[in-house]
Amino acid sequence: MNKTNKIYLSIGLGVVTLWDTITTIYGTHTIAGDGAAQLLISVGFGIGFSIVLIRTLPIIKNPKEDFFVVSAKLMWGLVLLYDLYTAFLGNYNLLLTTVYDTPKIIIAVGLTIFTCYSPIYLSKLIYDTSDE
Amino acid sequence: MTLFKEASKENKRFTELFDKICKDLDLDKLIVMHFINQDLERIYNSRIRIDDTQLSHLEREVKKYTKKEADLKSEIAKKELLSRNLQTEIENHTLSLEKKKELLVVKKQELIELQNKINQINSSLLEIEQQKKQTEYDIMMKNYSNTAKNDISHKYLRIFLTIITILAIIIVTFLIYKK
Repeated sequence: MNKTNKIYLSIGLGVVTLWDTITTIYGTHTIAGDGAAQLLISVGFGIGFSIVLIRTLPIIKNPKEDFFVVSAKLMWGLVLLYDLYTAFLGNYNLLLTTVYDTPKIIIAVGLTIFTCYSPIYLSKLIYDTSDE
Repeated sequence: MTLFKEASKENKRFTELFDKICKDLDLDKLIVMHFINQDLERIYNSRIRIDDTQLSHLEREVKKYTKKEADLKSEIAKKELLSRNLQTEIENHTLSLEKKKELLVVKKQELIELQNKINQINSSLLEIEQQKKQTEYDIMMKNYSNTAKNDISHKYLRIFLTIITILAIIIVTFLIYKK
């Protein structure tokens, strides 16, 4: 891939990843409830989960089979599931405020998949430099 | 001497009986003798005929059984021959089977050896595959670290993403907190 294109694509996916982080903060805050501590924890979860998803490639492609590598892969799976849920919650409540009924759910599912896929693809762009 | 005595006794008895019959029936001795002779002749003939019939029947039976015996002997001989042939065939087959068994054992052994070799090759291949994956992973991480160190655009991109992330998080946190 052309380097300039890669940079633009990285910026685009970076912005969507940022939105993914925001939806994670929002989703966690919705689950945890009001309060300064809950907000702080939500921010921590948002940033932490985004870091895990951006590091998808090093986690998944690690060929070692020791406990930490395997458990990291398992954690990555759980983080992805949680991210799917919070992304759906964020897109449904924050983004699609003017759409109603069935289309709202369909669009929310589509956006959720795109939102969660962005940090994973961004991970490939950052770590896999074999095509440069 | 005893035989002679017995004969003369029986002879006397016959003479007495003969005389008694002639006297009781008031018949001439010649007539009585004629009937006695006739009866004796009839008994003799009848007996001989019976014996002849029995003999011929027995002869037929003997012939039949002799033929049967011969047939059976021939059958037995045939069966014996068949049995001998079968025995020979069984022996041949047993021998062939034994050879095949031995061959099978040898082939099994060869197969086990080949299996072991395949397992070893598989194990080596897996090891090589694992090493290849590890090397690819190491190269990927090394390339990333080199790019992160040397590529200016990569550096700027990281700074940009970090700044907008921090800003966005601050804004979102502030908005949620205010709400």
